[in-house]
Amino acid sequence: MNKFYKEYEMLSAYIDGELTKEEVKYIEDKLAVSKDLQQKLTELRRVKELSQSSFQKVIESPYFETKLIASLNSESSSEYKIKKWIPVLGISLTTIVLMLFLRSNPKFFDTIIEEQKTKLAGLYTENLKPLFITAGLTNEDIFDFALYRKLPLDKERGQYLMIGSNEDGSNYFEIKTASIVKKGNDFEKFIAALDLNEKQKLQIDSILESYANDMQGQILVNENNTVAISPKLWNYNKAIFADVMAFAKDANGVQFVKIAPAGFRDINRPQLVEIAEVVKAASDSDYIFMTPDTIFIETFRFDKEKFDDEMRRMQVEMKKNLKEAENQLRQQNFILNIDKNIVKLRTKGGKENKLEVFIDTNICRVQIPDMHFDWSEISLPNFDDLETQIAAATKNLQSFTIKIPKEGHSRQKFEFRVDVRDSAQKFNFDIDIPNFKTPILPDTFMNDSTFSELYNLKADSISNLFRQLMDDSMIFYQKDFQIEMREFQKEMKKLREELLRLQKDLKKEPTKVKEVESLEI
Amino acid sequence: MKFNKKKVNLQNPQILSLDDDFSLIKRFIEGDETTFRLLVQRHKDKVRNLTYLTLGGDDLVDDIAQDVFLTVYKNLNKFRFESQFSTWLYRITVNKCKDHLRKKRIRNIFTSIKEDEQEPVYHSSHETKDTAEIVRKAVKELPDKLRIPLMLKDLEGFSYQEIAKTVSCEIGTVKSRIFRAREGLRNILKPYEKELML
Repeated sequence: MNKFYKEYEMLSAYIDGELTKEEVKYIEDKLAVSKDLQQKLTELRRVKELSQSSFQKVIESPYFETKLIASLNSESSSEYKIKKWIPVLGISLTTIVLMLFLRSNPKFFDTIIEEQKTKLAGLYTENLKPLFITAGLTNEDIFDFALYRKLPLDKERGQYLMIGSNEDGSNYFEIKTASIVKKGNDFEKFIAALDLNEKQKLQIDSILESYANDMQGQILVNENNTVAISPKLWNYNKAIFADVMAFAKDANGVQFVKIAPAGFRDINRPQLVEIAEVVKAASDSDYIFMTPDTIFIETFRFDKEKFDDEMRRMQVEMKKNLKEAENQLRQQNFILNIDKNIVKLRTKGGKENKLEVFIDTNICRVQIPDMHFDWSEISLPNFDDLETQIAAATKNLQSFTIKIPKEGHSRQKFEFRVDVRDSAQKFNFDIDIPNFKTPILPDTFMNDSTFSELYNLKADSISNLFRQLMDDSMIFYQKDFQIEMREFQKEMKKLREELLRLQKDLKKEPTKVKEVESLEI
Repeated sequence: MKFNKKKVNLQNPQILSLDDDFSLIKRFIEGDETTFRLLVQRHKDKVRNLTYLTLGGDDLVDDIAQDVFLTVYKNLNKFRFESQFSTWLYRITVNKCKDHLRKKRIRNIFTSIKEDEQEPVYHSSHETKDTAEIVRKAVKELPDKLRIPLMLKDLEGFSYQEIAKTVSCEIGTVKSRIFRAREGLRNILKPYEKELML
């Protein structure tokens, strides 16, 4: 850099009046002694003079403002605004139109969803045929179903459908593979034990055949690997069981009493017949559909008459051309393959109808919660008055009864009544009544080893069966209750004594009131 | 009850142009768009002149100045009142001019034939028409970064500080650039030393 550069630069700022006082003094001192700086100053002043004098201000533009405002207006004009807002307006208008449309058609989406659901369900429900026509349900199978609650789905592969109940009363069904080892023919043992004659044998065969026919509509399958199971299976199980027991009692009452469990010895035949009638008369409206990728409940009507017609036609053709018919039957052979990784759970209705699905290597279990009882609306006694009530009840308890209303399908009130000398205490239960009554005594059948030994019944299997029947029956005997009530009375007495003692203590020691107040019953 | 009354000499508030601009802008932000017209009236000459000088003379002066005000109109809501409105306005103007010049240069690279640049109409006062023309041509040859501070100083009378704010650089840089612009101009004009009495 030129050694004078800094001073030259200062000179340029000097002529522009941009130097500080100190800088001005400095440069002026320098200028006084330096001809070079003086010459540079002259040069710079002349250049500045030239640049200032060579330009003039730009000519005024009279229309500048007018043009500018016009430009601004055109930019903010409605057309411009519309163009700018077209995308937003489009979306907004569409939204408004949709809102208006949906307001006037509130069920639009519901309808679409419902239609799609129907279409989807249609895919699975197409061509459903009874499983047992191809599985070849025998009377022995029906008998086994009544006792063991299992039905063969695929005999060759050892695949069974089992129904059962949990301790909490919920029902379930399972598809098990080759886990059941059958010991002999229980149906034959049953016939032999009852010492049935030929006519009676035909009768029991006829009974079981009639159920075999009804059972056709209970489990349906199609080529899309769909299995539709009617929840009525549980009732069919009870009905067949009741029917077989009723028949056995009629056929050989003496022998029946020997082999039947305690609960069946005093069996009431008309009631058993009634069970069967109620079950048969109930409509097959809903089915539980198990497909390779979903499980759902859907209303489905199986046209049995149409199916029977087809079967008759097939039988006629079978006679004409046996081989062709055999092939046709073979084509209908059903193999259930469930993708264990993709199981979605669909619910219908509220919590009470929720299905639970368990799948492992050889079991597919669908759990159905208790379909009959709703204990949620049990009204509880007023605990504030508990002491007085207990005192009154334990003093004056004379009878303890449960009134069971008449049979019916609708929800009914159960009344739990405690009679006291002056008044009656009532507790109401709101329960869905089971479709039929089952006159079985509780807690006795498990001890009856004769029946179990005779048919090689597994304890858990039969216990499930009886517990189910017992839970549904809601029949209690006065005698049992009397025993229970005696126990109850003893407990009540103890409690009362304790409370009285507490009362006395309170009177003695008023300072302890606070502690006692915090006691909770 | 007696109050100790103290007489206070209240001076009439001094209304600065700065305040005027600010109050107009505030009114504009509040929705009174008519104030924008007042701002245009107040600053249009400066903007047009600045554009003219920055471009070194161009018939697109009005277009660019219009563009400057359109930009101001759209962005006035974002004005932060941290600097003078004029500084903000001139910075926009200079940037618009720089953009224009840059685009023009790029166009010139891609077009073999130079655009039909019309020679701007210059107006000289003291110097003869020829002398002024020579100087203007020489100024035009200066690079933008030197020419613009020189024009702002010599023709618009901006202080170094104002120039620094307008072109967004340090005062020292402005000082240096103005000196280099003058030196450069003297060198370009060297062939006309005698005529121009350099």
